Amino acid sequence: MKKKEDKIDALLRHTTAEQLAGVDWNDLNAAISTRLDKAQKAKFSPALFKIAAVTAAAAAILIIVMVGLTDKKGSATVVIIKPSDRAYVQVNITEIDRKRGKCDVQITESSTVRKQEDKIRPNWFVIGKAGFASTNNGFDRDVRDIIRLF
Amino acid sequence: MNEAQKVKNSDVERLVQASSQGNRDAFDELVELYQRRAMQVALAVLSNADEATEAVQAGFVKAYLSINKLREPKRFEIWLLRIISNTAISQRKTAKRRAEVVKTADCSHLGKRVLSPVETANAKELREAIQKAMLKLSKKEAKAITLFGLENLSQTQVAEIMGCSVQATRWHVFRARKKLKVFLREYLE
Repeated sequence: MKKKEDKIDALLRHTTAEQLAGVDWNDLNAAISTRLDKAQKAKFSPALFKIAAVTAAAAAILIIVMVGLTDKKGSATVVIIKPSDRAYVQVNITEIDRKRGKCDVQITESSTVRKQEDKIRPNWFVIGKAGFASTNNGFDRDVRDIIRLF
Repeated sequence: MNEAQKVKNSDVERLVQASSQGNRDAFDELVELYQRRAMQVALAVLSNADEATEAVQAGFVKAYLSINKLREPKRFEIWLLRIISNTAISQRKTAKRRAEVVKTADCSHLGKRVLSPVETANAKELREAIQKAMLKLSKKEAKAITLFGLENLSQTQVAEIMGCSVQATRWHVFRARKKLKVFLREYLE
């Protein structure tokens, strides 16, 4: 049994040694060197930087176009307000925002919270006007508050 | 004693450190030191010079590209041999396909051929038989029996390269020998 195992080991060793003897080490070394050169070039290839730069530029252009399309002056922005409590609504428009046709809408909860029992009432409003406005219409008028602003 | 062992460990560590900082000349020196050892592993796994050459080249490229991840430069040999053996093992699929093509071609031309003792002794044929037998082993078995056959590599080091315990490695060697005994029985008589 042991003899056979030794024979197997010897057979493998012998075959490997025989093939090793036939290897041209200079050739192998040159081949490895060539492959390493290629790998090195690929690693630091300026083409990769070009691709990255082009991709970044394309992404930037896409973002600009998207912003331009979705945020045109005077266009409407739809906002969903969580089924809410009584609200105090204030629209503040800065100088820069006015030029761009945008405004900030801040909805401030009033001190008294309206209880909504099993009623979900999503309130929609459209912002379409530039200009300063402020209103407080009291209890249960958050939608009307906003509409009145415009 | 191989080239790598003639060089002091400190020198190897210095070369590894320089290589990991992008020094190509240092890595070329490492290639020169370890190419024989790498080829020995690849040949033992693949039993084919062309396939082994390809595996060694690919292995060194992988090592070059990831040498900066090697934390302990003194373990370079173990790390490299693991890369080479894994590359050779993963190349076995291609080798298997080629072996199958050769087998089919042989059958179509020769039909039922009875081997004479002279033919049996033929080195090329023996190589092919070993290659086929090695390809029939599992990846771990092939790797274990290959690394066990390497000079100056302790069982612990083999286990480290294998990524398993010494006992598990011995078990894989045992299984490999058992299978090879069957596959190569006509050459063991």
